[in-house]
Amino acid sequence: MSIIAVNLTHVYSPDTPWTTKALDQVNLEIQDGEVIGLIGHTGSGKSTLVQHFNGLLKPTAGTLHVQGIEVTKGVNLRPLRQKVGLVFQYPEHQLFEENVALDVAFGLKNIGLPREEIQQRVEQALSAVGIDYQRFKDRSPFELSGGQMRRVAIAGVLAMEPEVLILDEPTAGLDPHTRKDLLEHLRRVQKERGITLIIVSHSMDDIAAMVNRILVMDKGKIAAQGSPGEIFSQGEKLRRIGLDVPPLTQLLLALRARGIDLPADILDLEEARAAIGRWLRGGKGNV
Amino acid sequence: MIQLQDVSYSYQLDEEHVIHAVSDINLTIEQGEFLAIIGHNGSGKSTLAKLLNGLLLPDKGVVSVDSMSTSDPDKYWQIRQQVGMVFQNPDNQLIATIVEEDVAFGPENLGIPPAEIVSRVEESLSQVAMLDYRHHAPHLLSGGQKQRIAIAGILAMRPQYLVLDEPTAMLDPQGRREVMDTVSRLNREEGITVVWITHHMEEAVRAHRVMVMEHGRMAVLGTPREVFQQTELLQSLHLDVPVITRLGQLLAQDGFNLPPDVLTVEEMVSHLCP
Repeated sequence: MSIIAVNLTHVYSPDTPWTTKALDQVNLEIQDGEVIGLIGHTGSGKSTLVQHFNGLLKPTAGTLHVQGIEVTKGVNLRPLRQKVGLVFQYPEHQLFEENVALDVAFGLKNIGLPREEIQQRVEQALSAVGIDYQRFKDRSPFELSGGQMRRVAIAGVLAMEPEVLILDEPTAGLDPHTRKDLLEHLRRVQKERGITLIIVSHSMDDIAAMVNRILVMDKGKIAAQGSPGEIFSQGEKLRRIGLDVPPLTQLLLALRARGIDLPADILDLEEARAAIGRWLRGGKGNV
Repeated sequence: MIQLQDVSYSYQLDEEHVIHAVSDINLTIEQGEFLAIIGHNGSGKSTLAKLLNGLLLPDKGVVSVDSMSTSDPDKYWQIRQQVGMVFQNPDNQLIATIVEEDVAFGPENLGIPPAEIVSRVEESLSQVAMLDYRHHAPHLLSGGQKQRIAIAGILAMRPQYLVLDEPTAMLDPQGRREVMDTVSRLNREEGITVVWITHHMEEAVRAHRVMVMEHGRMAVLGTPREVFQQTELLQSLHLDVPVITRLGQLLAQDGFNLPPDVLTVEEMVSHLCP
């Protein structure tokens, strides 16, 4: 199973002066177990797109199938939401229980799982995001650091054991170290459980290393897709649609613009060091 | 000038647990300066920001703004007017349904006469290049535009100092550039002193001085060049060195003649290319 959108279109406030076409005939296919980076500037349609994946929004036109379920006006949301976990931006704002264990268990209780299974899933979900169950279970979520709160909130969605996990800007506001650590945990969960992981972001620097494929959205359409290297080497195009190119790619593109034959699709610092070193040793540069 | 002398602040969680968020900070922020503050989550940056305009008062030591102590209740309003704060989430800072009303909120509270409010609102909106949007609804604007409206609302109170706590954390790259360029220009052209808290090293590179915080203390203070060549120290503090600086250092290790403090792509290109 997978996610298949055919001419998926979404119009906000139809038949009013404020009508906006947020998705414009989007066609895409995401396979089971893929790790996808979805990038685009604010208003490009990426959040609108992922909100269709768990039925928060329904297509105005076109069709969408998610894990074998067609997302339409009459869709039964319960099975869909169990298959597709959506973590919003700043999910820690949605913590509310008196302790960490209860907060993570909330969704599980709602679907009526037996107590032992709830306990087991809560432990697993917390350890998957790097939170020690014994140490944290009785702590109030509001006494945790920002990074810890974020992890607890994500654990609440992981505990539901979704087949597709979507995170909207999971690293916003986190420092570089916490960011890296959280992404490594997510990547590990993805591998262990074989789930489909979709990360929505406007900073691709972080996630370039962990995704198989990047989808770039602009004006409600998929403007480009490919491997991170393929996408970033299209520097000018990305900048035109308001996205940033990682500094290393900027450097390589600037050197290429001066006629220097270096690959533009290097994302890794060590690779860049080696490639530039080879070029300099060839006696071409001035250092 | 904002001066911090031996400033400490702690949060009392319960009877047993105290968090020392800021400890023994000594710092002088000069008039007209652009100071960036970096540090990982929980290093005390936001607490420090709130101490600068008296939103928090020091447990120990003195914070003074133009020689007025933030602990002096008589100076409370004067200090708040002098030191404007901008926070991470623009949606939490905008309150009115029309842009110009939002910007007018601060000066109205200061009791400024209506005719002057009108001219201040116009001026502030022009300063952030948002005058064309004066009749728009804030919630329909982009993140970068909303953040610039929040800044205009502060400017309308004519502050000397702007303290921005991760103002770009929720913005996309374009919004980030808009806000960064706006604030740089206010600093350069209007002489407004800026304190800019960020996780983005590429933003800190544009400041006059960078202060690194760790466990509530000042770990390093210096120009971006001085700070960012201390790679090992920064990495031990879980901070990134700008990737271009790091590349220069690695190429230098490989025997190429590159300085340890290359900060930008442009600088690197001019070093590398004949």
